[in-house]
Amino acid sequence: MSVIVVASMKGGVGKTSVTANLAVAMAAELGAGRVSAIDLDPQNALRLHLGIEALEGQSICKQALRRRSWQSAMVDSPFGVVCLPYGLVSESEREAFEDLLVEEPDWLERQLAQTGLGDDDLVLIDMPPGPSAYLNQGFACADLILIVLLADAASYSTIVAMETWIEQIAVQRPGVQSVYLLNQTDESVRLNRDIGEVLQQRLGKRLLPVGIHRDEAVCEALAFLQPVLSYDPRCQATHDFQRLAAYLTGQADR
Amino acid sequence: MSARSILMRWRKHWSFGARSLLNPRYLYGLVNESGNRLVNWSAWSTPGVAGAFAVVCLVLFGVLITIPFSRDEQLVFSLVIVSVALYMRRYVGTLVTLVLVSLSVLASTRYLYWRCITSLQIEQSVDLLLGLALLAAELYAWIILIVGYFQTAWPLKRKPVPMPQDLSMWPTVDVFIPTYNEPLSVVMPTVIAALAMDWPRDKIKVYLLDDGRRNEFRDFAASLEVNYLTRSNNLHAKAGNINSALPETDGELIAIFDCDHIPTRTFLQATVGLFLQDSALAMVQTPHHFLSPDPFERNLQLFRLMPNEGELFYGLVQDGNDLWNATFFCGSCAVLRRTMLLEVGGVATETVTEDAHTALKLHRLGYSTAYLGVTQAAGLATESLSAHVRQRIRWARGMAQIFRIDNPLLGKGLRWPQRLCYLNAMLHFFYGLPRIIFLTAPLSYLFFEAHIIQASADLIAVYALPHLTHANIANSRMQGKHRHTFWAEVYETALAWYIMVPTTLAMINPKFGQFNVTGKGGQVEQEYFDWKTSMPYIVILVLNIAGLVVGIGRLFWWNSHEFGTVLFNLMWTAYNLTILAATLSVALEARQIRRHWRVQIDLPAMIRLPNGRTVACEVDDFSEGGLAIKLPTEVALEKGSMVRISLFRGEREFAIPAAIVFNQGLVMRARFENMNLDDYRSLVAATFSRADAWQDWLPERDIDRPLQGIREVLGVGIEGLTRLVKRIALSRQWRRLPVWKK
Repeated sequence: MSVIVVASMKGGVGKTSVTANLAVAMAAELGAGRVSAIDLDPQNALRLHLGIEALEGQSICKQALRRRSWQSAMVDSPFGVVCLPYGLVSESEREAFEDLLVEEPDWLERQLAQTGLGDDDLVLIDMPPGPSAYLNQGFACADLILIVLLADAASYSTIVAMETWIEQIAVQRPGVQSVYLLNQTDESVRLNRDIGEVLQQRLGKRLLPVGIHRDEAVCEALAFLQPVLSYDPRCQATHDFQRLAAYLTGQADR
Repeated sequence: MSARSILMRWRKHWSFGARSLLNPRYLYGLVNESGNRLVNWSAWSTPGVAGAFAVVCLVLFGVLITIPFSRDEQLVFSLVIVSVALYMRRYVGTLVTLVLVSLSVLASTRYLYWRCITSLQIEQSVDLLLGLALLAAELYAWIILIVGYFQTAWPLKRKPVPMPQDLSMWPTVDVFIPTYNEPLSVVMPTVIAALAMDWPRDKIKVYLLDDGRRNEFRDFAASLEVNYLTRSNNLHAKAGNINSALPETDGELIAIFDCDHIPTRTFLQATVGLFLQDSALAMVQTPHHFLSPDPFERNLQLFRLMPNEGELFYGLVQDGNDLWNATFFCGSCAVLRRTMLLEVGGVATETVTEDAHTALKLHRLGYSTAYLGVTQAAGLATESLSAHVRQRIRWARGMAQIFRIDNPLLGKGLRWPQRLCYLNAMLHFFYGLPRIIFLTAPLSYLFFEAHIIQASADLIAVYALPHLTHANIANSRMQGKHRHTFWAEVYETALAWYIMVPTTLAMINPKFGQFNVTGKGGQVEQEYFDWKTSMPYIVILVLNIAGLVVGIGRLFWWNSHEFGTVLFNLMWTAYNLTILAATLSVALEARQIRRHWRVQIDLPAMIRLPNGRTVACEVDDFSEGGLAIKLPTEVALEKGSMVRISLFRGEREFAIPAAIVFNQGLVMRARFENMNLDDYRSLVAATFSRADAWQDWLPERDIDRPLQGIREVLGVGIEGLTRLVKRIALSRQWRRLPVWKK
């Protein structure tokens, strides 16, 4: 089982849509049912991207508080991905869950071990933006940390904080890799292009060679409760996610 | 008793088993094995053995060339060596090629020897004169054949030498782009692509050398921070232009591009390594590649289907020269070492082919040159037949000038293979007169009964046919990929008349002749027939048709006593007519309304639609003006909508603004609009200057199939003649025919 944690220091970079679409593209690459997408972001939006209506009980948060296994909370999405929604929860439930996460730093790791997923299975975990107890959990068990960025100044300024975080985990878990993904790129915008170049210089090979183009189809897809891969299979964003999935599997094989 | 049982009985009777010579498989194996054994014979390395064998072979060769045979003996001899050649053809390898070449040399030399010794005993003085002219033409063809074999039998096929990791070892490079009267739109992509070459920024300087002294060019150069150089006169044209830039620049190497040759970004990294490897290297030449069709390819609609004229030179001749360290400088797409160029006094100015002459001077000083047969730049071909002819006249004149004033056979410094390579390059341009002789020789008999070959037709056949057959077999094997037999005849015939006079004049007085700038990037608004260029050929064609008519009369009535001779001359005339007709179709200039040439390429791309959505697609072809796109699905977009099209080069992306001009089904065409300089740079970087831009240029092509070739030439000829006759018949102004061009 490989675990990819999708993170960002700043909100609004399209992290959740990247998680959902990448999961769908990975499922197409690896086979349906082999990819699980876990939502650890209290916004509970991942399920929407995967076309899942909210159901009582299908909540990682509630299951955790009831000390039940994940199995019953898992939902098969129509797009070949198994989804575990954060769930619609009250404020007190959320706080309780977060307390639990602080008390048991290896909670996520243990839960994953109990899922019975095979060696070839892939788990993608969507994190809330910025430092949090969720992020700590994710870092503790990630094989790959995928940090989503926009090619703008605000995103660029978060890199220092992110790198500091990563250095800390690197001390605890030396094998963890972290890569940056540029989202919503638009080569026809000068600033976008320039920051892209600066990022390239700053991050070198840790900036993924495949970026995701800005594409209205991604936003429209969400309105139709679909990943962009099924909403517009011919658009560039779809193409980008497919290439990203192929690139990541290719790297993993190596 | 069935046929099968007879065969069985026969086999039983002769009882040839596995090891019988009558068993074809065993025989093949035996031949193969003994051949291999002979080649791998250990005694070859013993001193003297190979030498002694060579002497024996030479003596045998001499005997076979000179020994007199009766007609039937010659027939048997010819059948034997042609069979050997046809059998050997199935084996690959240079050694077999050399054997085929030797057989061809044998057959051709024997033919020529026979021609000189026995077929010239002519008493009538007019016949003798004409006979001698034909013999001279044949001698010329024989020399070209033999020297050509020498030049191309063993192409070197050099590979690029990788650059060292340490950037401090990379030399400084000046890029020269000389221009005189070409429009800025032609020069722009070249300059931009030169700037985009992969080389340390502090070690490359691009110079626009403007002999036209145009403000527009000065401003353009300033906008790109390119150095702009000019001078007060235009002395010695391009050579003078480059020479006057030499004192004002200082790079260790000088890369020269004609202003319409767009380099790929890998040009320098591919070529410069050779200079680091060999300190005596003075020049590296790469192919001249044309992304637009030349007038032959355009008017005959053969573009990219058939190798063009340049392909033999850049695909084979230069690689062959390279083996003998005799690569020629071709004026563009080349890199020179400054110190050595200065040592020969800069680019040569004594002749109008300054490039070849410069290389000759470098070779005379003992410096080496190299040819790298990897296309690293592309340019435009000449736009019309007349421009093509003008360009070739200049080349021919220049080569004749060098032959006169700096003859490669004489003078110091050259090794004999180099002398031969240069000799062939120069002699090649003297084909004008011999070809006209071949085109008219049979007429001397058909019209005047002049017997210019004093032999019966059957005797001529048993000597001449093996000569032609072997030349064909050997050339097909060596040049098949780069030259198709009969199409090459068409190319040469079209130019023969025009280079005949200038080469002859230049031989008399080398000062005759002025530099012609070759026109490029133009349009042909309307189809027209180039009367002016083709008039000499129309005359020869009409003469040949008349000859054919007279000949048929002779065949059946007037000269039926020498049926064979008439038939021989008639067949010769028919062949000439075929080539002439195809040549004339070239003069029917096809409409060429395209301003920019479309280059076929498969390239990932993206369209960003006005509503913010995108389409991942593929480019089908591009030009400087726009591109064609293969859509994965239909896209609702009005004609005229503005989009941005991204082209990808590896992971790099280049976005260019464009307007939709055509959108139907899965095909879309867009024209670039409102491009600023940045967009233009993006376009060049994503297209022309790609490392792989010209890699897959040629589709899988047939090798040379001479028989099919002659059929195609015939087809083109008939079609061309029909159109020509129609044109004359339908022309309302036909009484005004002598008014040239339409």
